[in-house]
Amino acid sequence: MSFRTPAVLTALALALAVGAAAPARAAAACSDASGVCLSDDKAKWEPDASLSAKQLKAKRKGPACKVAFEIDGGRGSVFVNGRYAGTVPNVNLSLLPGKHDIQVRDGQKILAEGVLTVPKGGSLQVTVRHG
Amino acid sequence: MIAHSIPATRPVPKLAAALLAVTLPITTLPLPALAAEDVTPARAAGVRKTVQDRAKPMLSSDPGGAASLLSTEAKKTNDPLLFIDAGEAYLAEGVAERDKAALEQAIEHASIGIDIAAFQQDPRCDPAWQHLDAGEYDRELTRGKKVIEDSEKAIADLDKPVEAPPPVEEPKKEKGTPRDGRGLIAGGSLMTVVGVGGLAMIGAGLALSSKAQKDVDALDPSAIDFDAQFADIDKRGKTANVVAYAGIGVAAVGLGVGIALLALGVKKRKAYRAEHGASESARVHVAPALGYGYGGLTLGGRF
Repeated sequence: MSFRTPAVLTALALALAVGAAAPARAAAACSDASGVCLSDDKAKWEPDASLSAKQLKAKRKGPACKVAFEIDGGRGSVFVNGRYAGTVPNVNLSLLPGKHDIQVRDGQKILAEGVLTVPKGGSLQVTVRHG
Repeated sequence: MIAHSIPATRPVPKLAAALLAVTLPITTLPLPALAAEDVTPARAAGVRKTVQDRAKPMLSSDPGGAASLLSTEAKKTNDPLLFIDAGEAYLAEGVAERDKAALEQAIEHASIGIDIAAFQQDPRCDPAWQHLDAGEYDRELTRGKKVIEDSEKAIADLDKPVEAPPPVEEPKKEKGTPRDGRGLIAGGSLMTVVGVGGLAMIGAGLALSSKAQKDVDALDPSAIDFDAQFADIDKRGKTANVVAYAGIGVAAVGLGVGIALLALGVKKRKAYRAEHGASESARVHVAPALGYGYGGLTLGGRF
């Protein structure tokens, strides 16, 4: 067994670990464990995280990103930074880059909540699994 | 002197062009997050009341118009209570018009109202964005759920195949005359009349017989035509006896059968009236008939 084998195995293990932690890319059916799939690798989803009042008030700068929400297998309303943003499928937002506090719910059931880091410009598809 | 015409400067188009040049890039820029206004329950209630006052008179006459108004204002204000109000109005429209699309709108609006009301109780909600007082949430959530339940039920009812109304069972008309005993009563009455006739024959027979006896007793045996008169009177007396005897038979049979048939008929009629009501029935009545030189019974009836 050469010295390369442990290195390759380590790299593979790391890759798997990283892959499991990061939300999957948005697809027709979201299969990520967090229940949220993003279409852009630059975007980041931190489930159950929340922003402090200071972070919420922080000014965000840069070109906005067009963020569209989709719910896989049901309906739901999207709340961004503490306020109602819309109900799927009519949720097409223009969010400034940075962190945003997100909650998606169907009635009293919370489908997803956490912090979404929006990249600069471009567009982002967020798919939330209804489950 | 030559007048020089100096071309007038045209500042307006230049200014407009400059403004356009500056304005276009600005409008294409993404809007920064608007500094959202604070929403307090008191402030939301004031705005809501204005909308509800406009919608209320329309709810009974034009629920669709009321629903449209409430929906528009709910989307402007994001007030969960107005979303649920709109849901109720769409439900009223859907039920009145049997309109499935309106019922689906009722579910959608009530669901959004519930989403927002539930979120406003969540710690993630902006504390400066509250449409309802703390005590109002449960009531509104219950109301929203009822709108959804009622709308789903109404949709299920619409989806059911329309069942033909059960045929109204018409009372069966009995063929011919009703079996209310009128035949028995008629027959009984006839036989009773025959029986009464028999009684009359008895009376007549006895009277004639008695007269014949008197006539015989009054004959003079020494009279030359005694035998002829006796034979004649005896013949009349025998005839009267035959009439009386026949009357006995006729009276016995007529009255016996007639009264029995009448009894049966009346009994049957009573049973029929109990079953079908007393709208139509045969009637029989017997009344005494007395007058100068006669006496008897009168029998009347309607069949």
